Amino acid sequence: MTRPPEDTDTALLAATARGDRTAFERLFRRYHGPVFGFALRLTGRPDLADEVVGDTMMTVWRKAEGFEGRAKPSTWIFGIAYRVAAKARGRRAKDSLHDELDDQFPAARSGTEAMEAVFDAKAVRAALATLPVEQRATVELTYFYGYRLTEIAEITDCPVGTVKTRMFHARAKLRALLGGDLGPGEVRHG
Amino acid sequence: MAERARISEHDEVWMLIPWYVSGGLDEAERAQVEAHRAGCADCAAELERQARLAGCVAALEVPEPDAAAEDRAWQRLAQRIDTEAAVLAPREARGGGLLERLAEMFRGGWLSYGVPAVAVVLAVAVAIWWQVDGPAPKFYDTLTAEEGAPDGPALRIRAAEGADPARIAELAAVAGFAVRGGPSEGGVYTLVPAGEAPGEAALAAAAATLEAAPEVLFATVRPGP
Repeated sequence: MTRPPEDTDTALLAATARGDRTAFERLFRRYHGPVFGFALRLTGRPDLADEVVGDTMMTVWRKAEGFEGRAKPSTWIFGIAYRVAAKARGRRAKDSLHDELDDQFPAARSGTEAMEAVFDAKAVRAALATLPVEQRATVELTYFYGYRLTEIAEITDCPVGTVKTRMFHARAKLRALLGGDLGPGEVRHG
Repeated sequence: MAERARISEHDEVWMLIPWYVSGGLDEAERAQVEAHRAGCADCAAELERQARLAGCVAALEVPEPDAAAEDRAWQRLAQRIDTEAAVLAPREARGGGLLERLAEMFRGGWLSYGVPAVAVVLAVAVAIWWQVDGPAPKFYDTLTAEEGAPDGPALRIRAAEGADPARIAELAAVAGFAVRGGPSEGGVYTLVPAGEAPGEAALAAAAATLEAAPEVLFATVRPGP
């Protein structure tokens, strides 16, 4: 769906930079769900995810003037969210994250699905939770959000080679934890 | 030489496989993967493995916030923006004294924030009475002193030399805090939440906001027990 020019993320950011609270609220509501979901994936805790959304969008409000348009607005905002979430996760012990993840994340598929699929989801979720935040973010940004390699480098503010290396280590760890049997796969745009 | 080049190509393609699977490569990189995988069983197998992993990760759902949660989050953020604006605004630019400022808050719709706003306003009144007319307990000598510390979360700030205690109380109040102790001889104040105890991130945000004020040199968080 194409948005009218005044309603694009770029236009809303520009208006936000001028102090337009209405435009900022519109931007906030557009990104609240996506940023919350991303933060929840990285922190594993809804209360932390909520705080990450607040801190992220407060930063957007403060720094909108500095958005130069070199990256897409969504990449810029996710980059802020990544840094805020990484800091929030750093404040928490990893063990407590595991407990919360199992309690609060819904199963991947509804109850009538095969037990095997549910087991896969639980196993994958648990394995992902063991990854350091920068590796977890790389996996999620690649496989859930579908960001390009170069965009992930922008979001996580590191060279493309570092993104590849993080993914390399994440793959090795996930393979060690999960083995190769994860059910049928599909190449999206190969 | 040819073997080394083959290994190098293999390593490069191996690294690119996740983004081949997700469709996140440019045309040249995609062609490179496709050309290599045709003759490399390891890469072909890894490609299948990553495609399965991608499917699992993409299927993992997380709870989505509902409209009411979004509204609450926006209200909190809007209040935070107002607070920051109030803290950052130079005192002279705002004009008038504190009473005028409070009146302005009422006229400007602070009451729309409901009970928290009333709590903040009451905190201003109490804090100012405490600073101007009441006792000023001086039991906090450093930012990290523990003796006599409050039970819950708190902020400790070091005020700039000569900072007006009433102005510190005002800054605390607009950030949702009340002066609990200070100033010590070193200019350290302890601030406690005027309302419900905030989370760690909110405490850190309040500390950062206060630190932005010229009257505050440092602000640190003392989490609750």
